[in-house]
Amino acid sequence: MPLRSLYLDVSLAFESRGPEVESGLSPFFETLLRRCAPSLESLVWLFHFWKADQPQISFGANPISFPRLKLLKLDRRADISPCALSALLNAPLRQLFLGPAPSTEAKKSLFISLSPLRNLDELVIPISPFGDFDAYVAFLEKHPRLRKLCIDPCSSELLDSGIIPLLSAGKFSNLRSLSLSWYEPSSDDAFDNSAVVRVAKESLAAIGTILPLEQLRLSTRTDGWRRRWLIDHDEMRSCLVALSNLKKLAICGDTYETDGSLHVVGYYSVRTVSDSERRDAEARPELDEDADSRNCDADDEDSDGASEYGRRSDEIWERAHRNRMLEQAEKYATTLPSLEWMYCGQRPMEIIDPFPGVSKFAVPLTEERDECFTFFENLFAMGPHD
Amino acid sequence: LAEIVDWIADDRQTLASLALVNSDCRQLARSCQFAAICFDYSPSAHAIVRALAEESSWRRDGAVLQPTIGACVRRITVSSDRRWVSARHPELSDSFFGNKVESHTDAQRLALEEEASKEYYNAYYGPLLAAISGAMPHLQTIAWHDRMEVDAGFFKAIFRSPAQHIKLARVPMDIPYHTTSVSA
Repeated sequence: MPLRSLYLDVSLAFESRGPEVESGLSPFFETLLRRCAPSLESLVWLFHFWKADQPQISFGANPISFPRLKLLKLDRRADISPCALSALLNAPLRQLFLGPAPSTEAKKSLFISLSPLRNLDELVIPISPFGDFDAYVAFLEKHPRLRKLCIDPCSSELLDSGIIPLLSAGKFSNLRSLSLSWYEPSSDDAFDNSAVVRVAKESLAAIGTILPLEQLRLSTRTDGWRRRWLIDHDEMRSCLVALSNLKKLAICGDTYETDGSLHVVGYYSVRTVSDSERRDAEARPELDEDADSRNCDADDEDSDGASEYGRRSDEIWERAHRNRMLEQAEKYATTLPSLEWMYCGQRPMEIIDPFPGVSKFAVPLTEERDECFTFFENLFAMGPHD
Repeated sequence: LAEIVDWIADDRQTLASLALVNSDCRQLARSCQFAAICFDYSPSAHAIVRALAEESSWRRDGAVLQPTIGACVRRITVSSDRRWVSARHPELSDSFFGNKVESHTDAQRLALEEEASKEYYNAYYGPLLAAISGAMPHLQTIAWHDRMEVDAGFFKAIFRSPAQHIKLARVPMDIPYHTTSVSA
């Protein structure tokens, strides 16, 4: 039976490595793909355990054609010759995850000279700092009919001065789903507020002009426990106010200032509790009735003074944080008439409208904060690698 | 009868009871019980491997007279569970984990590893490949997650099977097989 989908993640066993054996890999992939190419509709080609210095993969002298290939996911570690890459990109692709960067002259000219992929609906393109920025912009420019675009990560400079101006110039009139991630290299050991990032207001305002958008995710780089985007939600709302079709909005990597805390980047790990947290924690008692009654039962059994204090303090902080995020989400719901779902402060929330015309409410969808990694990969990109 | 089976397709216990009624019911129940199999290295996975390998030899001899399990299988996942591997090779497991680690030398550990590998390849992997290449005529999907090295026979088997969807997740190969097994 002809093969329709292939998820290909094979490598040489550890004991088998060595130049002689490795030189056989490229012919192996060539033969394998040549055999499947006529019927293949979906190819996920990953390179876990790939060694950086292994020989480049090429498809030999005769080009391979993939007449039915609609989905291609190519890992960024894929060291594929420009010819082989061009053979894959000549397929009638609808969904493309393009990992390899235009890092050499040959690949750069491939990105620039490639004829547009006419059927392309979805593009996921992690932009590598080793790639040529003009080549990325040229590639994107060819595909204004995209419905879904995910650029994660991308250098802030390229996003602000190349990609966002391109997307917001009115050509991308089919774009329903957009996910962008600002990547600001900074010193990793910075613990103080010098590591804080602010996304340019001009960029947010430009995104606010992409009117067909139905779902939008904006994120900044996170590393370990650090979150750097000191977000101004009022500014964000004023920028996005025209997006009347927006149903889902996700903001990731956001962080907040707290009274008495010096560490904005460590907002979620330090969890400082002061009077304002104690006050805000009480704002939505209806959400905590069940938890409070459970705690009462537990309190009777055992309570160790110090850990009990820590638990209570964390609970106060989490409730205050949740309530603040719910309040923000409700304000977004007032600004954005179609909003059904919102994520910020690591809290996924649903917007409900029980009494149309009166006011909308935000309700938490999880008990705890959640990075929602898999969910975002499925919603905005082409699913997680596993 | 087939309509009734649709109703109880998710109820494993009822299916198992139905299978005991007569040979028609047994085959109908099997079409749900064995539609998707996960080979997790458990005793039941070993038992299914043996049964399927036997069916593949009947098929090879052109002697398929009775309804088979293999005909019911649409999807297989090969993903050994660490706990079943430990249970099957307790000495090997003890040489890596627990309080007997110290009492093993590297040479002993290597010998145990070799012995366990030999058993994996001979009693499990080999028959499983035979089953993939010749015992499951309606197989649609193969997902292979085991991290043991595969050889030329592996690619031959998966390309001989009728599967249209193949997932090879982090599969190590001993050498690349470009001439022998993957060409048409």
